[in-house]
Amino acid sequence: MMLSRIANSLFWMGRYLERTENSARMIHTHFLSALDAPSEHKGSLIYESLLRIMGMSDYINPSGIYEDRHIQHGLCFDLQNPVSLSSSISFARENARGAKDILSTEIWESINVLFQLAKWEQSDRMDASNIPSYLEMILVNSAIINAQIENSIPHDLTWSILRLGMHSERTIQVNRLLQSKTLDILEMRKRKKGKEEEAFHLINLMRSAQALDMARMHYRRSPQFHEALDYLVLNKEFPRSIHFNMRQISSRLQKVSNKKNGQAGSPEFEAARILAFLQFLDTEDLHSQPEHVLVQLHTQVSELISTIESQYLSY
Amino acid sequence: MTPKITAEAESSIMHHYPLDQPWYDEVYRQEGKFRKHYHRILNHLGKISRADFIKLNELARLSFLNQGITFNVYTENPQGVERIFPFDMMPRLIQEAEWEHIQSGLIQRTKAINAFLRDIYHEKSIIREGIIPAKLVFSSTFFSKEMIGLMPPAEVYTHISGTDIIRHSDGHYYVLEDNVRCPSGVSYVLANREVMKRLYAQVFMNYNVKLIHDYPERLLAMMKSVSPQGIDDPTCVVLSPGMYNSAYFEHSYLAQRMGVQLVEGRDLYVDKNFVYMKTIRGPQKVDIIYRRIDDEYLDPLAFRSNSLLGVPGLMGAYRAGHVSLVNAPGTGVADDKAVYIYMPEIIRYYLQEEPILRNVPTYHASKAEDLAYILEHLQALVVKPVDESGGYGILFGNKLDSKELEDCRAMIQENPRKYIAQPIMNLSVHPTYVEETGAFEQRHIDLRTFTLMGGDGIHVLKGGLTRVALQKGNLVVNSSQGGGSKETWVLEEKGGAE
Repeated sequence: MMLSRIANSLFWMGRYLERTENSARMIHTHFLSALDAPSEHKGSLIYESLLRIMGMSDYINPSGIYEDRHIQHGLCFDLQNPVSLSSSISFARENARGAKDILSTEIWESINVLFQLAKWEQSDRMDASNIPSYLEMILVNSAIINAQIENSIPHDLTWSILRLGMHSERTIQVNRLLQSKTLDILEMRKRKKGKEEEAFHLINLMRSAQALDMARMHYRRSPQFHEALDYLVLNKEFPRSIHFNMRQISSRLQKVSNKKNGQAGSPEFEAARILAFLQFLDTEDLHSQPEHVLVQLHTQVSELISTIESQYLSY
Repeated sequence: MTPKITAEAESSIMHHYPLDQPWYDEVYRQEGKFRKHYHRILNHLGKISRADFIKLNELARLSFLNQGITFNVYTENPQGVERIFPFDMMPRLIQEAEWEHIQSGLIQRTKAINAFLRDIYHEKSIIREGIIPAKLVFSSTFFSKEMIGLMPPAEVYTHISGTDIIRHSDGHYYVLEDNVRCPSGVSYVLANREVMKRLYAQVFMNYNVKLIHDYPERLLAMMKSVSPQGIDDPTCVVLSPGMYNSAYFEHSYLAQRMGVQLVEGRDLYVDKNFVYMKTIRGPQKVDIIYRRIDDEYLDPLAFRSNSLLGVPGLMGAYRAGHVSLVNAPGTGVADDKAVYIYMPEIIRYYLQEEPILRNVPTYHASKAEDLAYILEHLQALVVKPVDESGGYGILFGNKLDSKELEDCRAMIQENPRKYIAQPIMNLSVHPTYVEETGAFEQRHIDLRTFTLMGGDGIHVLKGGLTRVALQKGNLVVNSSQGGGSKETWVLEEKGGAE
């Protein structure tokens, strides 16, 4: 038995926790690669790409000149910016606080500790030298929270809804990352830039999705663009691929609804439909028109989330 | 035999403890002479260096912060400013015999208050026999017409009482206030104990401290004992105004420790006089509600019509006997500070016993002779509104200048029903670590106790929340007025004291 309001808090807690982890990893990856990037690329290649992934296009400066501290503050610490890391952490904790009575003490405390640590690090003490360790702290604590979610509560309704939120968010984040990097790479190709620039984007893409090491092992070389697309969209085993996450969403929904197959229009049915779309997706289409396929997937997932919200989370 | 204290203890942070004679000091009888049940803890503190003690304090602070045991103070910062409820690392000890006395007094008082409430909402014999004036009872802000003739399950009104007790400089315990409208603070007692056990294991091993951890279980058992008729396996919930309420930590803590749902008004609805909560798989009936929402917000149909916190139709379901409310509505009339004056009479009337715990002499401005006394002796009195809690609206006559005294007199004369006055009680003091000076100093304390009353009897939590006024000389200990807390250890005599 679970209150719809609590289910809503859990779903969003899962989404914000996942967003926190993803954002921290993307910022970390891009900051590190900015350090030794050719200076002409710094603004256009790295910051702009990152700002687009994070949904902060209004920070993009047409002049291509960026002040590091301004960008760092906006990405990491600005509470007025709803997609900053600090905001995600705050929202995750607020939702956890609203559902605290049904979480294990360990889950709540691990989230609260992350919140307190992140708040402790004031933005005015931060510069390029300690931002990476700040982001690593967030990643380590996110891993602890994940372990507590996995191991300190039964894999029942509470866990299923939390995971539903997390996998939904991950699907959206990976899709957004892919869309943005696809644009960057296609733009490079259009401008007939060399292989070097493309590789730069590819590596940032794969690192941001924590996929570089595993994709290298899978393909036995540094993945090419079409391989990166295959790996992050269609791989059934890699936990950050869209296919993997859609499978998780589908089974979590079965637990929530207590039904194997939902009626047409139900969240379970919609999730199964997206899975079928992925299963029968022609890789030629994905390779030739990646942006088109990604947008189509994004629309389907957004519609699925609206159905989940109206079916289970409204009160 | 005077207990010996080691040389290292003599040189400790406790060594230069300024003793101010007029107060009753819980630890020291006079300079260098401590009460013997404090022997072991003083010895222990003596072995801790100042640096270690500061570290211990910091660890405790961090532990509260990480557990999220904080208050939210709202500012322009969207994250708000979170403050820890200040906690002092030196526990207050109460010997068993003394505790037995307090406990029997609390049980007596709880029984009498419950009988009083039952009476004023039914037969009204105490009024008819002229023991307490009708006008006083019916004019109380908290008298609830909705409750007239309504009998709660198991005839219990005050399921949870939080009685505030002080020790005066005469060494006697007095009841300062009765709180029978959802008193808060018990979660801090339980959380403080958990932190102390982690950090102070050694001291615990030297004392036999009475257990308190079963409180949530007892609370749940008490709730189930007042279940509506015919329900075998009742669904219990805690009803909270939500996470922006300052006591939200307590609401969620108790719900979690009891393993019941924490609900808000918007999670509940009433259909055909039954209460349901909205779950992801449809409605689920609710039988017992431990509500942490004030009477006036409970049900917009019965009380304040603009309340968004409550549940429309809840009082109808209550009246139909389909849901139990803990505490019952309308109990506040018993903790009206003007009704407090009659508490000794109330005890004698219903129980045919003499009161065990003393009442502070109290003057009510609505009595002509009391009013005259108050106006004349205002400088030596403390004035309190009868219907406030949390230490709000309290005025100490000796702190007012002549203009303020005049204003205070005018305020009382304008609304005499609203004010009582009491002599300024010298709350006892306890060594409390003061960060600014890095030493222990005397600070005033009181004790909030917690008593559960169900269909299955009465249980008093062993100890309670010792509240500390952190400002030097301050006599108001409420957390809303900047107070802190201490652990309260009720000692088992065997091996506890020497």
